[in-house]
Amino acid sequence: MMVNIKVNGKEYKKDVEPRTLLATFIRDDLEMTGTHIGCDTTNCGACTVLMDGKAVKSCTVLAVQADGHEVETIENESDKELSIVKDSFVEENGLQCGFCTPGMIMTSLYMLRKNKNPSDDYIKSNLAGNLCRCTGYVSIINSIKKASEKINGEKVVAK
Amino acid sequence: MFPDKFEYYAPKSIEEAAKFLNGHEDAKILAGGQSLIPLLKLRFTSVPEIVDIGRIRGLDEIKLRGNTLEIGAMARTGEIADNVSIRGKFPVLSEAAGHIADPLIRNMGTIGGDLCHGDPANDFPAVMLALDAEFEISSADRKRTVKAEDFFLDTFATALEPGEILTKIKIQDTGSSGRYMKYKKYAGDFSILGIAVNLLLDGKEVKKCGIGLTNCGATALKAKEAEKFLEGKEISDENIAKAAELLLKVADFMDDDNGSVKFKEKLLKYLFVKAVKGIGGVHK
Ligand SMILES: Cc1cc2nc3c(=O)[nH]c(=O)nc-3n(C[C@H](O)[C@H](O)[C@H](O)COP(=O)(O)OP(=O)(O)OC[C@H]3O[C@@H](n4cnc5c(N)ncnc54)[C@H](O)[C@@H]3O)c2cc1C
Ligand code: FES
Ligand code: FES
Repeated sequence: MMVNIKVNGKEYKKDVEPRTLLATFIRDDLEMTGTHIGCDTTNCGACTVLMDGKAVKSCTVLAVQADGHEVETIENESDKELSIVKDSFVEENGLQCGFCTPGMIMTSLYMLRKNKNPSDDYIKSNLAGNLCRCTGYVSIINSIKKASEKINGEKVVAK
Repeated sequence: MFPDKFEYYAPKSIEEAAKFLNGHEDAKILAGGQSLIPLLKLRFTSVPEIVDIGRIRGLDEIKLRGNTLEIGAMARTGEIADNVSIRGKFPVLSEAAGHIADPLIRNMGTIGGDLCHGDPANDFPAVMLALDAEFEISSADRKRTVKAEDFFLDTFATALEPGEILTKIKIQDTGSSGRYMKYKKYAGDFSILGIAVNLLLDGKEVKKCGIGLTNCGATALKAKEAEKFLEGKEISDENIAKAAELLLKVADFMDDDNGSVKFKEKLLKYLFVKAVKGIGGVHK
Protein backbone atom coordinates (compact mmCIF):
# COMPACT_ATOMS: atom_id res chain seq x y z
CA MET A 1 0.00 0.00 0.00
CA MET A 2 1.31 3.48 -0.86
CA VAL A 3 1.74 5.83 2.06
CA ASN A 4 2.71 9.47 2.10
CA ILE A 5 4.22 10.50 5.39
CA LYS A 6 5.96 13.75 6.18
CA VAL A 7 8.96 13.07 8.40
CA ASN A 8 10.96 15.96 9.81
CA GLY A 9 9.49 18.27 7.20
CA LYS A 10 10.16 16.05 4.19
CA GLU A 11 7.51 14.01 2.35
CA TYR A 12 8.22 10.33 1.87
CA LYS A 13 6.13 8.27 -0.50
CA LYS A 14 6.68 4.55 0.00
CA ASP A 15 5.03 1.26 -0.73
CA VAL A 16 4.58 -0.64 2.54
CA GLU A 17 2.85 -3.75 3.78
CA PRO A 18 -0.13 -2.74 5.97
CA ARG A 19 1.43 -4.59 8.91
CA THR A 20 4.53 -2.37 8.85
CA LEU A 21 4.92 -0.48 12.12
CA LEU A 22 5.76 3.20 12.10
CA ALA A 23 8.95 2.43 14.05
CA THR A 24 10.19 -0.01 11.40
CA PHE A 25 9.09 2.31 8.62
CA ILE A 26 11.27 5.05 10.11
CA ARG A 27 14.21 2.76 10.88
CA ASP A 28 14.22 0.39 7.89
CA ASP A 29 12.46 2.21 5.06
CA LEU A 30 13.79 5.69 5.84
CA GLU A 31 17.03 4.46 7.43
CA MET A 32 16.67 6.86 10.33
CA THR A 33 17.88 4.70 13.17
CA GLY A 34 17.73 7.33 15.89
CA THR A 35 14.30 6.06 16.90
CA HIS A 36 14.99 3.01 19.05
CA ILE A 37 12.96 -0.13 19.58
CA GLY A 38 13.32 -1.28 23.17
CA CYS A 39 10.56 -3.48 24.54
CA ASP A 40 8.55 -3.69 21.31
CA THR A 41 5.49 -4.18 23.58
CA THR A 42 4.25 -0.60 24.20
CA ASN A 43 5.88 -0.28 27.61
CA CYS A 44 9.24 1.52 27.39
CA GLY A 45 8.79 4.56 25.14
CA ALA A 46 12.24 4.23 23.49
CA CYS A 47 10.37 4.43 20.17
CA THR A 48 8.61 7.73 20.95
CA VAL A 49 8.07 10.08 18.00
CA LEU A 50 5.69 12.99 17.56
CA MET A 51 2.75 12.47 15.23
CA ASP A 52 0.91 15.69 14.42
CA GLY A 53 2.73 17.14 17.40
CA LYS A 54 1.67 14.44 19.84
CA ALA A 55 4.07 11.98 21.43
CA VAL A 56 3.21 8.37 20.53
CA LYS A 57 4.89 4.97 20.75
CA SER A 58 5.87 4.28 17.15
CA CYS A 59 6.18 0.52 17.79
CA THR A 60 2.41 0.57 18.36
CA VAL A 61 1.29 2.64 15.39
CA LEU A 62 0.94 1.20 11.90
CA ALA A 63 2.70 3.12 9.14
CA VAL A 64 -0.65 3.14 7.31
CA GLN A 65 -2.21 4.94 10.31
CA ALA A 66 0.39 7.67 9.84
CA ASP A 67 -0.41 8.03 6.13
CA GLY A 68 -1.01 11.72 5.41
CA HIS A 69 0.24 12.75 8.82
CA GLU A 70 3.30 14.59 10.02
CA VAL A 71 5.98 12.83 12.06
CA GLU A 72 8.91 14.30 13.98
CA THR A 73 11.84 12.18 15.10
CA ILE A 74 15.05 12.71 17.04
CA GLU A 75 16.79 13.46 13.69
CA ASN A 76 14.83 16.67 13.16
CA GLU A 77 17.78 18.99 12.66
CA SER A 78 15.65 22.02 11.85
CA ASP A 79 13.88 22.23 15.22
CA LYS A 80 15.66 24.67 17.49
CA GLU A 81 13.87 23.58 20.66
CA LEU A 82 14.78 19.97 19.96
CA SER A 83 18.46 20.96 19.70
CA ILE A 84 18.17 22.75 23.03
CA VAL A 85 16.67 19.67 24.68
CA LYS A 86 19.44 17.48 23.21
CA ASP A 87 22.16 19.83 24.49
CA SER A 88 20.56 19.97 27.92
CA PHE A 89 20.59 16.18 28.19
CA VAL A 90 24.32 16.21 27.41
CA GLU A 91 25.06 19.01 29.87
CA GLU A 92 23.04 17.50 32.73
CA ASN A 93 24.12 13.90 32.08
CA GLY A 94 20.52 12.93 31.31
CA LEU A 95 21.74 9.62 29.93
CA GLN A 96 24.11 6.75 30.59
CA CYS A 97 23.77 3.96 28.02
CA GLY A 98 21.60 6.24 25.87
CA PHE A 99 19.14 3.61 24.73
CA CYS A 100 16.06 5.34 26.15
CA THR A 101 17.35 8.80 25.22
CA PRO A 102 15.72 9.41 21.81
CA GLY A 103 12.34 8.60 23.33
CA MET A 104 13.05 10.63 26.47
CA ILE A 105 14.01 13.62 24.37
CA MET A 106 10.95 13.43 22.11
CA THR A 107 8.65 13.16 25.14
CA SER A 108 10.52 16.07 26.74
CA LEU A 109 10.03 18.18 23.63
CA TYR A 110 6.32 17.29 23.63
CA MET A 111 5.82 18.27 27.26
CA LEU A 112 7.87 21.47 26.95
CA ARG A 113 5.79 22.62 24.00
CA LYS A 114 2.70 22.24 26.20
CA ASN A 115 4.23 23.78 29.30
CA LYS A 116 7.21 26.12 29.26
CA ASN A 117 7.60 26.10 33.05
CA PRO A 118 7.20 22.47 34.07
CA SER A 119 7.11 21.52 37.74
CA ASP A 120 8.74 18.29 38.94
CA ASP A 121 5.30 16.67 39.22
CA TYR A 122 4.38 17.71 35.68
CA ILE A 123 7.63 16.26 34.35
CA LYS A 124 7.22 13.02 36.27
CA SER A 125 3.63 12.41 35.18
CA ASN A 126 4.56 13.15 31.58
CA LEU A 127 7.45 10.69 31.71
CA ALA A 128 5.16 7.86 32.85
CA GLY A 129 5.49 6.14 29.46
CA ASN A 130 9.28 6.37 29.16
CA LEU A 131 11.48 3.94 31.06
CA CYS A 132 15.17 4.36 31.80
CA ARG A 133 17.15 1.48 33.26
CA CYS A 134 20.26 3.53 33.99
CA THR A 135 19.91 7.06 35.29
CA GLY A 136 17.36 6.86 38.07
CA TYR A 137 15.54 9.76 36.36
CA VAL A 138 16.95 12.59 38.52
CA SER A 139 19.37 13.71 35.83
CA ILE A 140 16.62 13.40 33.22
CA ILE A 141 14.36 15.71 35.21
CA ASN A 142 17.27 18.14 35.63
CA SER A 143 17.90 18.04 31.88
CA ILE A 144 14.28 18.92 31.14
CA LYS A 145 14.34 21.78 33.64
CA LYS A 146 17.54 23.09 32.12
CA ALA A 147 15.99 22.90 28.65
CA SER A 148 12.96 24.86 29.85
CA GLU A 149 15.18 27.58 31.30
CA LYS A 150 17.09 27.85 28.05
CA ILE A 151 13.95 27.91 25.91
CA ASN A 152 12.46 30.64 28.10
CA GLY A 153 15.78 32.54 27.97
CA GLU A 154 15.85 32.38 24.18
CA LYS A 155 12.35 33.82 24.06
CA VAL A 156 13.38 36.76 26.20
CA VAL A 157 16.42 37.44 24.01
CA ALA A 158 14.28 37.12 20.87
CA LYS A 159 11.97 39.90 22.14
CA MET B 1 7.84 -8.08 15.99
CA PHE B 2 5.19 -7.90 13.29
CA PRO B 3 1.54 -8.78 13.14
CA ASP B 4 0.57 -11.55 10.76
CA LYS B 5 -0.43 -10.32 7.31
CA PHE B 6 -3.77 -8.56 6.95
CA GLU B 7 -5.66 -6.47 4.44
CA TYR B 8 -6.10 -2.86 5.48
CA TYR B 9 -9.24 -0.88 4.84
CA ALA B 10 -9.85 2.74 5.92
CA PRO B 11 -13.47 3.76 5.31
CA LYS B 12 -14.49 7.42 5.30
CA SER B 13 -17.93 6.99 6.91
CA ILE B 14 -19.72 4.81 9.45
CA GLU B 15 -21.98 3.52 6.69
CA GLU B 16 -19.02 2.45 4.59
CA ALA B 17 -17.37 0.76 7.58
CA ALA B 18 -20.59 -1.04 8.52
CA LYS B 19 -21.10 -2.22 4.96
CA PHE B 20 -17.59 -3.64 4.81
CA LEU B 21 -17.94 -5.38 8.19
CA ASN B 22 -21.21 -6.91 7.01
CA GLY B 23 -19.44 -8.78 4.22
CA HIS B 24 -16.32 -9.64 6.23
CA GLU B 25 -17.26 -11.56 9.37
CA ASP B 26 -13.70 -11.92 10.66
CA ALA B 27 -12.58 -8.35 10.05
CA LYS B 28 -11.50 -6.40 13.11
CA ILE B 29 -12.01 -2.72 13.88
CA LEU B 30 -8.87 -0.69 14.58
CA ALA B 31 -9.32 2.47 16.65
CA GLY B 32 -6.17 3.71 18.43
CA GLY B 33 -4.56 0.29 18.27
CA GLN B 34 -3.12 0.46 21.77
CA SER B 35 -4.75 -2.81 22.78
CA LEU B 36 -5.13 -4.46 19.39
CA ILE B 37 -1.66 -3.83 17.90
CA PRO B 38 0.20 -5.37 20.87
CA LEU B 39 -2.07 -8.45 20.62
CA LEU B 40 -1.41 -8.73 16.88
CA LYS B 41 2.34 -8.27 17.33
CA LEU B 42 2.55 -10.91 20.02
CA ARG B 43 0.45 -13.15 17.72
CA PHE B 44 -2.13 -13.71 20.42
CA THR B 45 -4.51 -13.05 17.58
CA SER B 46 -4.39 -12.55 13.85
CA VAL B 47 -7.07 -11.16 11.56
CA PRO B 48 -7.66 -11.30 7.80
CA GLU B 49 -8.82 -7.68 7.54
CA ILE B 50 -8.40 -4.52 9.59
CA VAL B 51 -11.00 -1.75 9.36
CA ASP B 52 -9.37 1.47 10.52
CA ILE B 53 -12.13 3.79 11.78
CA GLY B 54 -9.58 6.55 12.45
CA ARG B 55 -10.31 8.28 9.14
CA ILE B 56 -14.03 8.74 9.69
CA ARG B 57 -14.62 12.44 10.02
CA GLY B 58 -16.31 13.65 13.21
CA LEU B 59 -16.05 10.34 15.03
CA ASP B 60 -13.66 11.92 17.55
CA GLU B 61 -15.91 14.84 18.49
CA ILE B 62 -16.62 15.76 22.10
CA LYS B 63 -19.73 17.95 22.44
CA LEU B 64 -21.94 19.20 25.22
CA ARG B 65 -25.42 19.46 23.73
CA GLY B 66 -27.80 20.91 26.31
CA ASN B 67 -27.50 18.56 29.24
CA THR B 68 -26.05 15.71 27.25
CA LEU B 69 -22.36 15.06 26.84
CA GLU B 70 -21.68 13.30 23.55
CA ILE B 71 -18.32 11.66 23.00
CA GLY B 72 -17.45 10.11 19.66
CA ALA B 73 -15.96 6.63 19.90
CA MET B 74 -12.66 7.81 18.33
CA ALA B 75 -12.11 10.56 20.95
CA ARG B 76 -8.60 10.02 22.32
CA THR B 77 -8.18 9.36 26.02
CA GLY B 78 -5.75 12.29 26.27
CA GLU B 79 -8.34 14.67 24.78
CA ILE B 80 -10.91 13.48 27.29
CA ALA B 81 -8.47 13.97 30.17
CA ASP B 82 -7.70 17.53 29.04
CA ASN B 83 -11.22 18.61 28.02
CA VAL B 84 -12.26 21.58 30.13
CA SER B 85 -16.02 21.04 30.08
CA ILE B 86 -15.62 17.37 30.97
CA ARG B 87 -13.39 18.34 33.86
CA GLY B 88 -15.98 20.82 35.11
CA LYS B 89 -19.09 18.69 34.75
CA PHE B 90 -17.89 15.09 34.83
CA PRO B 91 -14.78 15.09 37.02
CA VAL B 92 -14.96 11.32 37.51
CA LEU B 93 -14.44 10.88 33.76
CA SER B 94 -11.49 13.30 33.56
CA GLU B 95 -9.83 11.75 36.56
CA ALA B 96 -10.13 8.22 35.19
CA ALA B 97 -8.86 9.32 31.75
CA GLY B 98 -5.78 10.85 33.35
CA HIS B 99 -5.06 7.54 35.10
CA ILE B 100 -5.19 5.39 31.95
CA ALA B 101 -1.82 4.00 30.87
CA ASP B 102 0.63 6.86 30.14
CA PRO B 103 0.50 10.12 28.15
CA LEU B 104 1.86 8.49 24.99
CA ILE B 105 -0.69 5.67 24.98
CA ARG B 106 -3.42 8.21 25.84
CA ASN B 107 -2.50 10.18 22.70
CA MET B 108 -3.48 7.17 20.54
CA GLY B 109 -5.94 5.15 22.63
CA THR B 110 -9.64 5.96 22.31
CA ILE B 111 -12.61 5.73 24.63
CA GLY B 112 -14.39 3.47 22.15
CA GLY B 113 -11.47 1.04 22.08
CA ASP B 114 -11.20 1.06 25.85
CA LEU B 115 -14.92 0.18 26.16
CA CYS B 116 -15.11 -2.38 23.34
CA HIS B 117 -11.94 -4.25 24.26
CA GLY B 118 -13.70 -5.76 27.26
CA ASP B 119 -10.67 -6.05 29.52
CA PRO B 120 -11.86 -5.96 33.18
CA ALA B 121 -8.76 -3.87 33.95
CA ASN B 122 -9.72 -1.09 31.50
CA ASP B 123 -10.71 2.01 33.48
CA PHE B 124 -13.42 3.68 31.36
CA PRO B 125 -16.08 0.94 31.71
CA ALA B 126 -16.50 1.50 35.48
CA VAL B 127 -16.91 5.23 34.88
CA MET B 128 -19.62 4.56 32.28
CA LEU B 129 -21.45 2.38 34.81
CA ALA B 130 -21.21 5.06 37.51
CA LEU B 131 -22.48 7.76 35.11
CA ASP B 132 -25.24 5.56 33.60
CA ALA B 133 -23.91 6.24 30.11
CA GLU B 134 -25.62 5.07 26.93
CA PHE B 135 -23.85 3.72 23.87
CA GLU B 136 -24.96 4.31 20.29
CA ILE B 137 -24.17 1.37 18.08
CA SER B 138 -24.40 1.05 14.29
CA SER B 139 -24.31 -1.84 11.88
CA ALA B 140 -25.25 -2.30 8.23
CA ASP B 141 -28.91 -2.94 8.98
CA ARG B 142 -29.71 -1.17 12.22
CA LYS B 143 -28.88 1.39 14.87
CA ARG B 144 -29.45 0.76 18.53
CA THR B 145 -28.71 2.23 21.93
CA VAL B 146 -27.41 0.07 24.76
CA LYS B 147 -27.11 1.09 28.39
CA ALA B 148 -23.67 0.77 29.92
CA GLU B 149 -25.03 -1.67 32.47
CA ASP B 150 -26.14 -4.02 29.68
CA PHE B 151 -22.90 -3.68 27.69
CA PHE B 152 -20.15 -5.39 29.69
CA LEU B 153 -20.87 -9.11 29.70
CA ASP B 154 -17.67 -10.97 30.52
CA THR B 155 -13.89 -10.88 30.02
CA PHE B 156 -13.35 -9.67 26.43
CA ALA B 157 -17.09 -10.02 25.84
CA THR B 158 -19.44 -7.08 25.31
CA ALA B 159 -22.95 -6.70 23.94
CA LEU B 160 -21.50 -5.84 20.50
CA GLU B 161 -22.57 -8.29 17.85
CA PRO B 162 -20.53 -9.14 14.75
CA GLY B 163 -20.53 -6.19 12.36
CA GLU B 164 -21.46 -3.63 15.01
CA ILE B 165 -19.55 -0.39 15.63
CA LEU B 166 -19.76 1.70 18.76
CA THR B 167 -20.17 5.25 17.46
CA LYS B 168 -21.07 7.48 20.38
CA ILE B 169 -21.22 7.64 24.15
CA LYS B 170 -23.93 9.75 25.76
CA ILE B 171 -23.92 10.93 29.35
CA GLN B 172 -26.50 13.11 31.09
CA ASP B 173 -25.38 16.06 33.16
CA THR B 174 -27.50 15.94 36.32
CA GLY B 175 -25.37 18.31 38.39
CA SER B 176 -23.68 15.36 40.07
CA SER B 177 -20.00 15.05 40.90
CA GLY B 178 -17.61 12.17 41.35
CA ARG B 179 -14.14 10.73 41.77
CA TYR B 180 -12.15 7.87 40.29
CA MET B 181 -9.68 6.10 42.55
CA LYS B 182 -7.13 3.73 41.09
CA TYR B 183 -4.47 1.64 42.75
CA LYS B 184 -1.62 0.48 40.53
CA LYS B 185 1.85 -0.94 41.03
CA TYR B 186 3.81 1.57 38.98
CA ALA B 187 3.41 4.61 36.73
CA GLY B 188 1.51 3.86 33.54
CA ASP B 189 0.19 0.50 34.66
CA PHE B 190 -3.27 -1.04 34.67
CA SER B 191 -5.43 -0.94 37.80
CA ILE B 192 -4.98 -3.53 40.50
CA LEU B 193 -8.31 -2.08 41.55
CA GLY B 194 -10.27 0.97 40.49
CA ILE B 195 -13.53 2.52 41.59
CA ALA B 196 -15.72 5.24 40.09
CA VAL B 197 -18.16 6.95 42.43
CA ASN B 198 -20.62 9.58 41.25
CA LEU B 199 -23.08 11.33 43.59
CA LEU B 200 -25.93 13.76 43.14
CA LEU B 201 -26.25 15.51 46.47
CA ASP B 202 -28.92 17.69 47.99
CA GLY B 203 -27.24 19.11 51.03
CA LYS B 204 -26.14 16.01 52.91
CA GLU B 205 -28.66 13.74 51.26
CA VAL B 206 -27.68 11.44 48.39
CA LYS B 207 -30.26 11.87 45.65
CA LYS B 208 -28.55 9.57 43.19
CA CYS B 209 -25.53 7.33 43.44
CA GLY B 210 -23.49 5.59 40.74
CA ILE B 211 -20.67 3.16 41.50
CA GLY B 212 -18.56 1.22 38.99
CA LEU B 213 -15.74 -1.21 39.80
CA THR B 214 -12.59 -1.87 37.75
CA ASN B 215 -10.82 -5.24 37.91
CA CYS B 216 -13.07 -6.59 40.65
CA GLY B 217 -14.38 -9.50 38.58
CA ALA B 218 -14.60 -10.90 35.05
CA THR B 219 -15.73 -7.53 33.73
CA ALA B 220 -16.53 -4.02 34.97
CA LEU B 221 -19.22 -4.22 37.64
CA LYS B 222 -22.00 -1.90 38.75
CA ALA B 223 -22.37 -1.98 42.53
CA LYS B 224 -26.15 -1.75 42.56
CA GLU B 225 -26.75 -2.72 46.18
CA ALA B 226 -24.40 -0.10 47.49
CA GLU B 227 -25.90 2.49 45.10
CA LYS B 228 -29.45 1.70 46.28
CA PHE B 229 -28.39 1.71 49.91
CA LEU B 230 -26.93 5.21 49.73
CA GLU B 231 -29.75 6.79 47.74
CA GLY B 232 -32.05 8.79 50.02
CA LYS B 233 -29.60 8.56 52.90
CA GLU B 234 -27.43 11.14 54.57
CA ILE B 235 -23.71 11.09 53.89
CA SER B 236 -22.27 9.95 57.19
CA ASP B 237 -19.27 7.87 58.18
CA GLU B 238 -21.63 5.11 59.25
CA ASN B 239 -23.51 5.00 55.95
CA ILE B 240 -20.32 5.18 53.92
CA ALA B 241 -18.91 2.24 55.88
CA LYS B 242 -22.11 0.21 55.36
CA ALA B 243 -22.09 0.92 51.61
CA ALA B 244 -18.43 -0.13 51.48
CA GLU B 245 -19.36 -3.53 52.94
CA LEU B 246 -22.04 -3.94 50.25
CA LEU B 247 -19.39 -3.52 47.52
CA LEU B 248 -17.91 -6.82 48.58
CA LYS B 249 -21.15 -8.57 47.59
CA VAL B 250 -20.62 -7.78 43.89
CA ALA B 251 -16.84 -7.96 43.80
CA ASP B 252 -15.59 -11.38 42.75
CA PHE B 253 -11.96 -11.50 43.81
CA MET B 254 -9.30 -14.15 43.34
CA ASP B 255 -5.89 -14.55 44.94
CA ASP B 256 -3.33 -13.68 42.27
CA ASP B 257 -0.09 -11.79 41.60
CA ASN B 258 -1.80 -8.54 42.54
CA GLY B 259 -2.60 -9.79 46.03
CA SER B 260 -4.88 -11.90 48.17
CA VAL B 261 -8.66 -11.67 48.28
CA LYS B 262 -8.38 -10.20 51.76
CA PHE B 263 -6.01 -7.49 50.58
CA LYS B 264 -8.25 -6.59 47.67
CA GLU B 265 -11.34 -6.39 49.87
CA LYS B 266 -9.61 -4.00 52.23
CA LEU B 267 -8.24 -1.98 49.33
CA LEU B 268 -11.64 -1.68 47.64
CA LYS B 269 -13.28 -0.41 50.82
CA TYR B 270 -10.44 2.02 51.40
CA LEU B 271 -10.62 3.41 47.84
CA PHE B 272 -14.40 3.75 48.10
CA VAL B 273 -14.25 5.79 51.32
CA LYS B 274 -11.50 7.93 49.83
CA ALA B 275 -13.54 8.51 46.67
CA VAL B 276 -16.72 9.49 48.53
CA LYS B 277 -14.91 11.82 50.90
CA GLY B 278 -13.10 13.42 48.00
CA ILE B 279 -16.28 14.44 46.20
CA GLY B 280 -17.05 18.16 46.36
CA GLY B 281 -19.91 18.84 48.78
CA VAL B 282 -19.20 15.80 50.94
CA HIS B 283 -17.96 16.94 54.33
CA LYS B 284 -15.10 14.97 55.73
C1 LIG C 1 1.23 -0.62 28.49
C2 LIG C 1 -0.26 -0.39 28.44
C3 LIG C 1 -0.91 0.07 29.57
C4 LIG C 1 -2.29 0.29 29.54
N1 LIG C 1 -2.90 0.73 30.67
C5 LIG C 1 -4.23 0.94 30.66
C6 LIG C 1 -4.90 1.41 31.83
O1 LIG C 1 -4.30 1.68 32.86
N2 LIG C 1 -6.25 1.57 31.76
C7 LIG C 1 -6.97 1.33 30.63
O2 LIG C 1 -8.17 1.50 30.64
N3 LIG C 1 -6.35 0.90 29.50
C8 LIG C 1 -5.02 0.70 29.50
N4 LIG C 1 -4.40 0.27 28.35
C9 LIG C 1 -5.22 0.04 27.14
C10 LIG C 1 -5.30 1.32 26.31
O3 LIG C 1 -5.90 2.34 27.07
C11 LIG C 1 -6.05 1.16 25.02
O4 LIG C 1 -5.91 2.35 24.34
C12 LIG C 1 -7.51 0.89 25.04
O5 LIG C 1 -7.83 -0.22 25.82
C13 LIG C 1 -8.01 0.56 23.65
O6 LIG C 1 -8.25 1.67 22.92
P1 LIG C 1 -7.74 1.77 21.42
O7 LIG C 1 -8.44 2.91 20.81
O8 LIG C 1 -6.30 1.76 21.37
O9 LIG C 1 -8.40 0.43 20.81
P2 LIG C 1 -7.87 -0.65 19.78
O10 LIG C 1 -6.66 -1.30 20.28
O11 LIG C 1 -7.81 -0.06 18.43
O12 LIG C 1 -9.11 -1.66 19.85
C14 LIG C 1 -9.38 -2.44 20.99
C15 LIG C 1 -10.54 -3.39 20.70
O13 LIG C 1 -11.77 -2.70 20.59
C16 LIG C 1 -12.36 -2.87 19.32
N5 LIG C 1 -12.92 -1.57 18.95
C17 LIG C 1 -12.26 -0.38 19.01
N6 LIG C 1 -13.08 0.64 18.71
C18 LIG C 1 -14.30 0.09 18.44
C19 LIG C 1 -15.57 0.64 18.08
N7 LIG C 1 -15.75 1.98 17.95
N8 LIG C 1 -16.60 -0.21 17.87
C20 LIG C 1 -16.43 -1.55 18.03
N9 LIG C 1 -15.26 -2.13 18.38
C21 LIG C 1 -14.20 -1.31 18.58
C22 LIG C 1 -11.24 -3.36 18.41
O14 LIG C 1 -11.72 -4.15 17.36
C23 LIG C 1 -10.39 -4.15 19.38
O15 LIG C 1 -10.92 -5.42 19.58
C24 LIG C 1 -3.03 0.04 28.34
C25 LIG C 1 -2.37 -0.39 27.20
C26 LIG C 1 -1.00 -0.62 27.24
C27 LIG C 1 -0.32 -1.11 26.01
S1 FES D 1 9.75 -0.06 21.87
FE1 FES D 1 7.89 1.00 21.70
S2 FES D 1 7.29 1.22 23.74
FE2 FES D 1 9.11 0.03 23.93
S1 FES E 1 20.26 5.83 29.76
FE1 FES E 1 20.27 3.67 29.69
S2 FES E 1 18.15 3.22 29.58
FE2 FES E 1 18.15 5.33 29.96
